[in-house]
Amino acid sequence: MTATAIAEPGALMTDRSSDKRAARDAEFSAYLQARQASVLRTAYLLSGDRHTAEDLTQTAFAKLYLSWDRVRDHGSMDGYLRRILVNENNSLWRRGWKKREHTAEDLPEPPPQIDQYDDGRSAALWDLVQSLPKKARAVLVLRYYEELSEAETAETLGVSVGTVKSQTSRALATLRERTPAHLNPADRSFEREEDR
Amino acid sequence: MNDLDNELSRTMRRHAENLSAAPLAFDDVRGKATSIRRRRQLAAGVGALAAVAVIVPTAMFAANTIKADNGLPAASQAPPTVSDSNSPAPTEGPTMGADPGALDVADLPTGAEPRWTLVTEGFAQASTEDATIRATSRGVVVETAGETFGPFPSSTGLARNAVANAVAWGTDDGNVMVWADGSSEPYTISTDFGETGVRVVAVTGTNCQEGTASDCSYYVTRYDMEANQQESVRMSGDGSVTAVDPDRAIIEVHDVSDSGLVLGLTSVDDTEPGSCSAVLDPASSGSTPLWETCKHTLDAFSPNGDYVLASDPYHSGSGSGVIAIYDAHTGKLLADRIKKADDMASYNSAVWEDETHVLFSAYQDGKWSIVRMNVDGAMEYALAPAKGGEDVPWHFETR
Repeated sequence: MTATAIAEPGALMTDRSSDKRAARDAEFSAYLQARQASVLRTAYLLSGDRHTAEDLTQTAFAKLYLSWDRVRDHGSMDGYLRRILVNENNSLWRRGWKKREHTAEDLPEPPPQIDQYDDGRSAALWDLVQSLPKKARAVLVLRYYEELSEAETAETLGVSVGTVKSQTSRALATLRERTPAHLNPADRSFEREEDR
Repeated sequence: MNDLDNELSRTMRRHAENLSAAPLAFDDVRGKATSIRRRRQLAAGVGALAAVAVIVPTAMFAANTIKADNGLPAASQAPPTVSDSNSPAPTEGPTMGADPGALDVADLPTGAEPRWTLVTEGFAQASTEDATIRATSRGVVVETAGETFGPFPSSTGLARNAVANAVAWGTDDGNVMVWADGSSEPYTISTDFGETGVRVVAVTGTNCQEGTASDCSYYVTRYDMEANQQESVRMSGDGSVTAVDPDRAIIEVHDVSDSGLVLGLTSVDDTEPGSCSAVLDPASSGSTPLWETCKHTLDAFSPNGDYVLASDPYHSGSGSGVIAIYDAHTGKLLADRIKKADDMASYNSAVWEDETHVLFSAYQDGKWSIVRMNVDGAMEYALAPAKGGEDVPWHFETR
């Protein structure tokens, strides 16, 4: 006669809970694999530094993991990650001696991308973007890299649409003002007008 | 889009898309999540330390102060002694500095030495008259004059009652352990929390010995992995559990005053970013806050319960760049200093030194110092700056 194991009610509950957790982890893991490269890129633009970007990315996903059920139910994972990236990046400076927690092998900074048709404009503009205050840089990254609308940018940053407009305008004005004349796209467009 | 808009988009894409994929594994993320959760629980690390009797680091800052290799004073290894609670006599007056809202400790007058024990090993230490209790990576160890107990597996900090005769901690298997002076050994209060993270954040009462005579309450925070939520409860010596306040407004207790006021988090939101905190008097006004704020995390009552020490509302990494003090009764903000620039200070732990002074370990310009701050925000060195690395050289003993 084959013995049939009868599980205690508590054990059944534990099995169900552990199944639920495993399913949740699998779902999160799939999302992590699909989105991490993209999130790292945004983090890099926000911070301007590869190591900080890795920290930001890991922290953002960790916080998403802690809130996974709630955030997933609202289908707002990408938006949640963006907000965490921005908030974390803005608050990093308050932590003077923050030790990095690298679990993965450190990777070198990416080599600068040289565009054969780029006579220095891109590098100069990138330097200028990095010189902007963090909040101004975040507005530009969300508007011009993530291509969010003003309303979406406002929601991500937790500010009004008017603030996004004014910060964008100020940041662009600063870039125009600081861009060397011979690299200034505005000046170049003027040259093109003359060429016609 | 105009030319600059287009150029900006192209430039960002060129730089970002040159990055290789991040080798981030699920286990890495889960480990970080655990670490964040623990930091949040210990965010009150500040809170867990606070008020109560002043402990003098008898050996540390005497003329023959022991110097560690890194030039920083080493912590006293001798059991600390409880002193009276007289305020230290500063050699110069503390200063508000050029900006009373800035956390800038670059140039302060030097006052009296700290009246609190600094700890260099483990992550928490608490003392009673009969024992020294240390929380280390191996677990909690209790050392008395003649015996050593433990290590008891534990990943949490320690909490001590106001009269300093009992220390409690949570164990990894979800129970609460207590050392009470007069006992022959630590004892366990069993809970039905299961194998979930349990942390004792405060102990009230004066007789915590095992048995029916105990008048102690243990404020315990547990994290429910399945429900993915955290709650604080009040537990009696017999293991019975009640809500901290009737409507469970406080989701995480950080401190409890002698008069029964409770302070802690009422909400946490990573996307705001931040948290809200409140002070409650559950006995007289239930779950209705006496006052609340979302500007800071409320961490710890002063020894007499008149003031509240507060920090950054957004704890997720090491340290804080915000330190504040409130009037505990009215919620009036009395001192508020913030790291306003990269070259200003951040700190890793703070403690009430006496009724009106806070000590915090500050890091600025590659140097560590211990700063004493009055309740009005005036500051002085309790330990002058010395060169140090990124590793935190010491933290304060748990009250």
